[in-house]
Amino acid sequence: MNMTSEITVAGGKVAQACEMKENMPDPAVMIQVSGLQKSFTLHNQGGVSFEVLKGVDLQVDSGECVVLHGQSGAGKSTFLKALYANYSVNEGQIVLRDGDELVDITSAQPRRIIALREQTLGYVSQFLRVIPRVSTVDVVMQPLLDLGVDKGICEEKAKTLLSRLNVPERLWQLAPSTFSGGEQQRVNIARGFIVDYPILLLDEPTASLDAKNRKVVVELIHEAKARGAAIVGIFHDEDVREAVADRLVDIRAV
Amino acid sequence: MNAIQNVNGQPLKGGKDTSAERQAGKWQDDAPLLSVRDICKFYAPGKGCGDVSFDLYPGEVLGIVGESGSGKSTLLSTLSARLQPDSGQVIYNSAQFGELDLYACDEAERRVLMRSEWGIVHQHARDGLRMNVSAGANIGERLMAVGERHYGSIREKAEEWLTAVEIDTGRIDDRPSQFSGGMQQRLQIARNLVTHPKLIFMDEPTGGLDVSVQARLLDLLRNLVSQLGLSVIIVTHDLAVARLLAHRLMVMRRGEVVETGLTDQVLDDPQHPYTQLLVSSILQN
Repeated sequence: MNMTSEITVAGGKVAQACEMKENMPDPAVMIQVSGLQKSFTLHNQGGVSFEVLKGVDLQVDSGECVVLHGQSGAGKSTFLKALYANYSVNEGQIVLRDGDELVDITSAQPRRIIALREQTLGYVSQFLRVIPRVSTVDVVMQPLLDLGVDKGICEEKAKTLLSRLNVPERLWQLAPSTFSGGEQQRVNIARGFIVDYPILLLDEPTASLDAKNRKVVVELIHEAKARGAAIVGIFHDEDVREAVADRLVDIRAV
Repeated sequence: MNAIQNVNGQPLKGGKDTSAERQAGKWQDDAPLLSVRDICKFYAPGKGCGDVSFDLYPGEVLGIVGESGSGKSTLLSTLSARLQPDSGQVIYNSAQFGELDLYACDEAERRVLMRSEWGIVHQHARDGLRMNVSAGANIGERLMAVGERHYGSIREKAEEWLTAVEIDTGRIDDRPSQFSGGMQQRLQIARNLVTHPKLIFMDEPTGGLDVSVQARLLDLLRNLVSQLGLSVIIVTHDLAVARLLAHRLMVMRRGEVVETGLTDQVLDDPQHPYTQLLVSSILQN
């Protein structure tokens, strides 16, 4: 268990008292979800309401990769978005470890969640969403630069990731909006892996990638696990799932 | 070491802390910069804004969104001490004066704040610039207002800030009336930032600009805000602008705040019927 150094780097701060500590005393536990309930109400479409998640519990340890499993529409993505605090939840707790502190993101202040996302919580989807006209290398290194890391180091790491993901060097200085879907997706993966997040959420990052690049993503996931990251992912490709999953967790439609 | 750099990678002078230091203290710092309590300002029933309360922390960007006439701009004017509220309190934690009750304090103190610790970026650059004096003088004026007297150093800072907002320093002696709309907006931003304010109020800063100019300006704003650790309150009706710049959102309708929260949560999982309507009305591409 080589987590101690990782956590100090990522959290950047020493222990702060927290009332939730007793719920998750084991320092290896990075994610603790309990009794999660989520429903959507569409007020402008007749106020129809449907429940997507009910009574979901999950614990993910450091160095572990959990793959969410279930049919399309079962709520896998909704669950992952809730873990990123992108969706709010109606009931339950999502406690994430940020260094020595535990944060329940269902009730945390927006600025606490933003700090958590900058240093601890990474999210990679298959879609790239960036400011138009910003160059690829800048897009990729931005999250690391925001942490105050020296620009030279950020740039180097960005370029290493881009070459590993087979994004041609002639594209690096161009803005990614004109790239092919696959290229944009790989730029997005590079951006998602530029910071060594202790918790990583992967929403089908390999969808529509070719075998060669899927293999690179699998390598990146293995490296993240090796340095102690807790990973929750959704993967449609069976080969990727087989290669990275320590555990499959069923998400069933309510 | 000064880690603050402009978009071209050159260091900007006068930065106070590195982003790493700021990062570490970002959310632990428990004193809000601005505390707003029960602000009401109504012109007529339903016209204006009512019962608005929130805290703004250092380095935080708050977006206020909503349709035209929802009270966004009224609220912004009230918060920035340009419009007396009917009731309520705004406390600003000033570096010079300590905690300041905006509507109970001295007019002179308020005026000092406006030109040193605060900046206001107007939707129409002409409201925030002096159109008949040169670009350099527009930037220099704010510096002189905070006591800078040396011509050489004022001009040097003006050039530095023109570069930071991507205006050719060769244009320093030209008047803003000879600038394009996008350049005027960037000049207005430079004029505001030169005194290293802590808090910036922005009213539709990209409104009325060409989309190509808008993208560049947004990137510039986002970089400056994060590098300088500014707190910003930005009013916009453009949800894409809000998504790019704001950490959290306040959604207004008919003078009332109907929803608040983390920007992407409000936009991707809106709870209030009005927010849902607003979000679902965006054209998809």
